[in-house]
Formats: sequence, C-alpha cells, structure tokens
Amino acid sequence: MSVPDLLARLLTRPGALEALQHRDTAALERELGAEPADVAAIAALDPDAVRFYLRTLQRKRFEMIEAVFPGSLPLAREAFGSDRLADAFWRWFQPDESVAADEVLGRIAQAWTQFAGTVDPDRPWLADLSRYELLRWRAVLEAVPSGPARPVYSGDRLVPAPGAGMAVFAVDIALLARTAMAGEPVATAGTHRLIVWFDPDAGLRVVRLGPSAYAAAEGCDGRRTIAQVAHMVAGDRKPAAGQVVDVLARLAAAGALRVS
Amino acid sequence: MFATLGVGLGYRPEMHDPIMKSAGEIDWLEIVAESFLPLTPRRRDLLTELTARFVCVPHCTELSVGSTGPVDGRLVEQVAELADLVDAPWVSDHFCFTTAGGVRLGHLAPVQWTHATADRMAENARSIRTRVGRPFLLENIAYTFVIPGELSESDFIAIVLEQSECHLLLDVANVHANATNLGFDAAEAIDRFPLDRLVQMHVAGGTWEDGVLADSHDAPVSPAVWDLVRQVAGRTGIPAVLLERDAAFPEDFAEIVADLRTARTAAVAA
Repeated sequence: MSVPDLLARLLTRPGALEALQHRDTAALERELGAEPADVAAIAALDPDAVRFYLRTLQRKRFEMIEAVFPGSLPLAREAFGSDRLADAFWRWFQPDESVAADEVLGRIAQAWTQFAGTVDPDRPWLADLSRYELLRWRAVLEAVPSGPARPVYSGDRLVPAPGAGMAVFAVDIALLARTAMAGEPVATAGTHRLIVWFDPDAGLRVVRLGPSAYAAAEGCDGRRTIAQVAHMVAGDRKPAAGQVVDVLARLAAAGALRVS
Repeated sequence: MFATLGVGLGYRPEMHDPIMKSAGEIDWLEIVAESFLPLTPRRRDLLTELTARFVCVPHCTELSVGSTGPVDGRLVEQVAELADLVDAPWVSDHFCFTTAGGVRLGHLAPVQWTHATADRMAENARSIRTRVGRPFLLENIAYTFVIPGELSESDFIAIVLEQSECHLLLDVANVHANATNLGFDAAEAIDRFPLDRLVQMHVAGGTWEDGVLADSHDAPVSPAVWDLVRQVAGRTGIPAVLLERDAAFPEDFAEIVADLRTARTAAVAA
C-alpha cells in the first residue's frame, strides 16, 4: 500500500489517529489495514502535527462545500465555530473509500443536508435552508442549456425549457432570505411553488409562483396550446385568461418555457 | 526564456472590483484553475473581462501530481482548455497529492521525499506539461509534518524538476512557515532550492493557530518573508512574483496595494 493511500486512511479513520496518538503500532496496522513494513513511515509521524493538518483539511473541505451551501454552512459555522463544526461533521460523516473522487463532493453535500438537520434542535431552519441549497446545486449540475426566449403567440404549444423543473417546497424562499439568513427561525412554513431552471447567461433562476401561475406553468406539457392552458386555468373568464397568457409569455421570455 | 510578468495578485471574486480599479498596481493575475472549470459561459465572460486587462496564469490545486497513479486525464484536458483560452504563459500546481485511495482530500498533502516518489511525480508532471503544451511549474507546499524519506525537500524538488523538465514556483511564505514550525533555517533552506529553475514566486501572510504558523493567506506579508524575497532576488532574477490573499480581505484595498509595492521593490533588490 502506498504512503498517500495510508495517509488518506489516517486522515479519514479516527481510530487510526487515536492509535498513532498512543503509539500503538499494532492498532495502527489494524486501522490502516496495512502490513508492518508499510506502516513504518506513518507510525513515525507527529500526531499533534497530523491533527493540526486534519483541522486545516476539514476547514478546506468546508470551503469546498460552502460553494454548495453558501447560506447554511456559514450560519452553522458562525454558531458553532469552524473547528467544532468540522470535527462534529467529520465524525458524523465517514467517507466511503470506494466512492470515486469525482463523487466525494456530492456525497459530502448530501451528508451536510442531513447533518444540518441534526446539528442543533433549536435551529431546524438550517435543514430547510440546506435542502433548498442542495436543490439549487443539483439544478445547476443537471442543467441543460436552454435556447433563446422567443415571443409567445396564442395557439402555440409551450413546454418547460430544458433544465427547468417545477416542485413544491415546504419553505418560502423569500422568507428564508429575510429570516433564516439573518439567523432567525422561519416563522411559518407555507407551501409555495417554485419553478427552477438554468439560464446559461444568468445562471440558476428560481421564481416563486402563485397557485394560478403555477397551474399555468404546470399545464405546459408540450401538448396543450397556450389557449388551452389559459382555458384550463381561467375557464371562460377572459381577463383571467389574458393574465395566464401574460404569465406564460413572461416565463418564456425569461427562458423557463419554450415555444414548440 | 520566460517573460517577465512583474508583480501580480491572486484573483479572488471578493476582490474583483478593487482589482479592476487598481489595474495600474497589478501586472498580472493568477487564477485558481478549478474555480473556472468547467468553462461555463459565465466563467468565460469573466475570463474575457480579466484577460482584457491582465495576463492570467492558471494555478491548479487538484491535479494531484504526487498521486501514485496517473493524473486525472479529464481534469488535465480542462486545464489545457483553460490555458488556451487565457493564452497562459505557464500553468502551475504543487508538490503534493490531493487524491489517494479514491478519496479526494480537499487539501494539499505532503508526499514522501523518496527517489521512487520523485520518479513517479516527474512522470506525472511531464505528462501534464506535454498535454497542456505550456511550461508547467510546481510549488513547494506548507506542511506541519514530514513523512520520513531518504531525500531532503530541496533534493526531491530538484530531481522532479530536472526529470520532468518543469520549473519552480517558490513559495517563500511556505518555506518561512515550515522553518518556523519545524525548526530549521529558512534562508539556508532556500539556498538549497534549485533556483536555476525559478520562474515564479509566491508571497503571503499567515497567522498563528494553536502555536503553529499557518499558511493562511489572511494577513499582510511579514518582514521575515520579505527578507527571503530579497535573498532570492540577490541571487537570481524572478520573472514573476505573486501576492496571495485568500481570506480576511481588508476593507481598504490599500493594504493589498502596499504589499504589492513592497513586492515590487523587494523582488529587484539585488
């Protein structure tokens, strides 16, 4: 087994570091799953220096996932301190060595989403915020570039733009922005509907829709025409049908819907 | 021969506006390669904006040149594309590994200074240099522990650079931190580095954490580090000097400008 492999194991297996701390070579061999000859270089390391490096490593890991969780991670860090949070998170999340390197960040991101819900029972909003952030991240990863927005004409069919997704969340993004991001618990958890899509020029876009607008967007299945969608939502009420067409036109102009 | 780039600054989005406003004080920018990969339209737009004003040099952190296996070919391809896009004079990474046993550590880890490691690292560095089609520099890292091996750090670095035909990115702040934490003389250590292969230098400030001088890039450069810059400048020309600031960004950019100006005078103090 190579020294880098052994060092990676030392840094991801608390038992191995404990064994190093106590100069228990037999336990170190067992924890690292290595032969005595392989372990010699690792057994000679200064455990305090390795622990310091590990703390740096944990902070760097957090810096990586902060790109995924720009809200919940800094808030948790502020509340608990970097080192304490890093230690707790890494004890909670033990990376699986069989995970491909490319997938590690994704695994950590998922783990953080779950961890944020357990980190402090007094801060349940951290979990809500992290779930929303994970969704944003996935939307970016799974995004497919959409074509340019075109004018909407009555009678044409509308479909969600490639990369667009609609979902119902038990959180209010605007409310989160005002309260959770400021460190306050979310006062009420409503059911607000979001449409999420990736705009290659503007990046991830998230729009919160009212029930009627959401129904209109949901009605765009690639088969119904705009007029049919408007009728489905507004019935025979012409002013309301006009509003539905206007909403669809704005979504199309923003790149969330496409005319087929 | 390498172009003389002068004094540059590590690009960080948090400092975007003051960097653009202070272009007269900054000769070139070093960009963290992985922060721009993959090359999305938005990232391309940002690079277009930066390259319109500055020479941009990609600095990698994830190529894991010191891994036991071959480097990640897909990442190397992306780095090559980035280097082509910004027409980089060179590309760099570190004397370290970041991926081992299928785990991405997320931080630079020290390699064992042995002939076997040097041979393998030189092979990886050479393959990167060949694929990127530009000079490839390797940087000495900060470390808090050393894995015992039969070579000294400077001998190890010299062997890798010679075998791979790559060049040196000397981080004097890392040497200073290592010397402080592990108890050796930084000036003597630098004298043993293969300065004939020096192309670029890093300077940065660090802070003390639990009795350890951390290479945290979050403070002004210390006088001891400036002395090391002058020492190197007295021995050889330094085509490019770069100030790294990654955290605790000052409200007043004048603090950064002051370090840039000191670098400009120290780097030519023969």
